[in-house]
Amino acid sequence: MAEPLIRMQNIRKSYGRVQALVDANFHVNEREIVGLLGDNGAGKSTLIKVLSGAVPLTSGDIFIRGKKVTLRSTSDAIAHGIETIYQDSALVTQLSIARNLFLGREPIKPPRFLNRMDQEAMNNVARDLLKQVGISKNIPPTTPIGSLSGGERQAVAIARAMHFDSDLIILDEPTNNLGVAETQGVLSFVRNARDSGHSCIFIAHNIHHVFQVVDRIVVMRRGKVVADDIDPKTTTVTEVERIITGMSDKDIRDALADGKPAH
Amino acid sequence: MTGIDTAPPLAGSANHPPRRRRRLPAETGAVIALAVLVALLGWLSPSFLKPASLLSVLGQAALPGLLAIGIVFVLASRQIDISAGAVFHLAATIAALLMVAGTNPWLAALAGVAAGAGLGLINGLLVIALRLPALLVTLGTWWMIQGLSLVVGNGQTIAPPGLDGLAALSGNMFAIVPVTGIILVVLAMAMHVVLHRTRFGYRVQAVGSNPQAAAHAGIPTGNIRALTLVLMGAMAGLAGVIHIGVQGAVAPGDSGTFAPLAIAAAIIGGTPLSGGSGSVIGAAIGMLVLQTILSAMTLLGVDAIWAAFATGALIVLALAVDRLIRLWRERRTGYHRDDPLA
Repeated sequence: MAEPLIRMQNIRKSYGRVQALVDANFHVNEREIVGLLGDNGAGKSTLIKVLSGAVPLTSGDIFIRGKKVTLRSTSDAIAHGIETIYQDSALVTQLSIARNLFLGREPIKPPRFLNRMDQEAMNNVARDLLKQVGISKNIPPTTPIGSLSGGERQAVAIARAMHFDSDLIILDEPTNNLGVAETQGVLSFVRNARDSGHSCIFIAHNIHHVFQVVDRIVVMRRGKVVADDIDPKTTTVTEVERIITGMSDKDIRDALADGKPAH
Repeated sequence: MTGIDTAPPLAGSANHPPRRRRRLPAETGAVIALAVLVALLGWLSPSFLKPASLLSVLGQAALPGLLAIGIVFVLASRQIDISAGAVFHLAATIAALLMVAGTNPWLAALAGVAAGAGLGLINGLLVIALRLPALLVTLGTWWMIQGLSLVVGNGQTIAPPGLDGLAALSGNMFAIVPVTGIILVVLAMAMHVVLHRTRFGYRVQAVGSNPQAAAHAGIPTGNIRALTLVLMGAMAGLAGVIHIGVQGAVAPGDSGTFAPLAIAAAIIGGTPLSGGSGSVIGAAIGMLVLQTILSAMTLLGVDAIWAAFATGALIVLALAVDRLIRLWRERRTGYHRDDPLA
């Protein structure tokens, strides 16, 4: 079997005494959209933070195409082709679309020591990208992000990941607070990204959105991956919901009784 | 982030404002304030409108103006530095002492600027290492640096014997334009370009606007914050050195009001306390506004006992007018900033 794009093995992460991840195993194949599901506190966001370099892991290994890597910082992860799009903090609202697309990777004009940005190049690339993701309709690339809708913002963030050839795009709640049409738009951006060769991890509370777009569903509970090969075509939403909350009704009652999330 | 959601329903569809209106530049308020003040003062006392007295205001604005340039970068990165006045004084004291000890004045001047930058670096490193807001760090270092100034200067006025070419800083160009004023204008324009056209300036604004997004995009936010404080220190050091060239000496108590003046000038010039944007030219104009107010006090013969109070009151008034103009503009355009302080 071919080596997956990303393999996370026996990942442990503890915050003091709290164990957020307990020997979690997770992988993403090439050109695949993986839906990551789990209740609040199941460890989804910790797993993502580890993979995006935002928090260090306590123990365990991460392999990219079979090669072991250490992700010390967000820039490390970006350099390894892992781009994370956080729902609220992907973009800088006061700056323009073009500037956001190049956030952290701004092109510099020739005499390099002057450190001047190449705004023309940024605007041109931005115009092309906006057309590619399908939100061109006369929005100039100099428009501040603050005057775009939520769906358009997600599109800009996804376009950024695609432009810089990220192998893996992690989307954290990309459809939150979006209308129906906008949600469909974002889902189609995600499919586009996969079709042009990128892999995605898709995290959403709305299981129906996950079902519409992903190739495989992974479920986490209490810091562990409890199911990692759910085919959305042959599984029902109700079945997945039972896996998320725990298999038996008794487990659900117990969870309600202690009422404590994992962290 | 809630910009769109909080817009009034009349602003059009939930997704788009009806028309993307061209917004007035950030410096508008300061320019209007300056024009009104100059006109008012010229009407009350026509001699104020003579080129020589107008240009002398420019000269007075120069030194605190250099600090205002630095503070714009600090504010744009959503920080504040209140130690700048003390850095000015210690840098001036160090340069003056070196000159007294016989160092070449230019070399001593360079050492003064470097000392300012070094003090800024200490502020920056403390911000990174302790993960404290710059406000708290500089609150502490302000006292320390002030104290150190008194220790090295022995609490005395230091007047270096030979200034050489440095004395030219006290002169005029074309007979009436103060050299220091020219330095302020040139540096303000250059640093304006740095803030708005370079990668560094852009990252400063990104860090100030949404630190999390900047960090997620791989921008080293700590380094950027520290660099703005280094720049602030270097500008304060430069101003301190120029002060020696102009005055020929540094006395305890010089620069006392510079830090609050610089912050007020930056805010009047359109740099929000909430970070994310800034105008260097606006800050320079803001400093002209403040210096015009200060000159008005002398010109109109306001009793020295009341002058400080009146100056403060006028600064509050200038800030209030600026704030009201901004609020009015936001209501008109339906555009709200993320931060209530903006």
